[in-house]
Amino acid sequence: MRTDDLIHELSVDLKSVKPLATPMRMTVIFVVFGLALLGVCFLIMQSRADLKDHLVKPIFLLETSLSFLLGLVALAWSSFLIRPGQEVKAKKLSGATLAILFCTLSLSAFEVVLMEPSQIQTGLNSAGIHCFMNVVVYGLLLGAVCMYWLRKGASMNSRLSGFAIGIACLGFGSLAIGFFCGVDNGMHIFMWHFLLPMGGLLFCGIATARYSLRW
Amino acid sequence: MKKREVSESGGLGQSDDEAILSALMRKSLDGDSESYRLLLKKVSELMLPFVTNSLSRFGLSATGGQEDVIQEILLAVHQKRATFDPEQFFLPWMYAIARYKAIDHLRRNKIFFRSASIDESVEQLGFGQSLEWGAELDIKVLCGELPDKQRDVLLLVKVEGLTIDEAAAKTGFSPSDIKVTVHRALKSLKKIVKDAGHEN
Repeated sequence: MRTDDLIHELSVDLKSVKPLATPMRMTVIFVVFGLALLGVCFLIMQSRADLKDHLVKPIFLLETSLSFLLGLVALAWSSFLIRPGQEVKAKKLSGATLAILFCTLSLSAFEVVLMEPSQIQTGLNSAGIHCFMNVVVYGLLLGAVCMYWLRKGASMNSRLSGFAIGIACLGFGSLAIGFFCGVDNGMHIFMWHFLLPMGGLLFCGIATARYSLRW
Repeated sequence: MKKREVSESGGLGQSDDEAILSALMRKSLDGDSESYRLLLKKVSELMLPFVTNSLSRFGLSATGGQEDVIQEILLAVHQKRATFDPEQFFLPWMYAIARYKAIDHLRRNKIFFRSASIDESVEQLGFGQSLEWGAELDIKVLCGELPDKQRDVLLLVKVEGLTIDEAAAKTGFSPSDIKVTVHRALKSLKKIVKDAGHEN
């Protein structure tokens, strides 16, 4: 087909198109969905018995805030990645996301360093797989919705988009599990709330995005 | 990317192409067929040197895939037109799509880069893009801000079109020195352009 014919074919009977939501608006939509999902979790699951006590503990608040911030910034990053021509902002957000991820993991790892070897052993108990599953399931639900919306855009780098979505899901997943898991063991939190779910969610995010976000 | 500061009249930092294409795109989003036809026509004209340059840079005969790539870009512009934000510039958006499609085409045709990684290639394509849309930025004026060695080597390789070996023979530097100097010069130029307020 000649280019002129293609132009004619594309322009004839043109329909008006509503521009995609701005990246900031899209981020807000994702965050609202993530928090709504958290609300549903509160309805169907029992929160930890000592939640009220923990809500005034600085370390719990710091961990929770970092997780939320991680999810928020990673969602913003993934929203900018699907907007052609906005690579500079996406690059800045990638730096911010990685910095917050580093802080989150460092804080959790620091708690492990201060622990006794016997406590570390307890934290590695395979009962933690329950928490791992919860974080991953929550993350996958949020990730599926994000992926559906992001498909409407034009991802400049599908694997990177998958990575960003995986990190965002980890942020919100670890935020959510903090309200339900009653174990305060640092190793348990590091291993079952962060490290292993991060591996799983990043794998799922990148593997899925590679195919679903290509255009 | 900077928000549009103005303007229908083509204000600060906008080339004529930018002002015209942005206006056409906004009308196209509202369903104006004639504006859209003009827009695609203009895009295909703008894409011709970009695609030719991209393909020839990797040793592909321009006559073979040139039209195919332009058509792929037009289709992508059509399919993804909802991702254009009327508050932003049009040309960076268009060139980002074009770059993606050009690289996609090169990958699909199993073009391997002997002397440059794919990321460097993206950088190179991006460099060409910013030159075209920022018509007010004169390459030679910009090069004047570079150190002598970087300026001379960059002009030889990127403006006069000499190969790395030819530039090495002409200047007396080694080929790897030429590559490194070009890389550094492009990096410095990017910084200069960015500092001048053209983020993308």
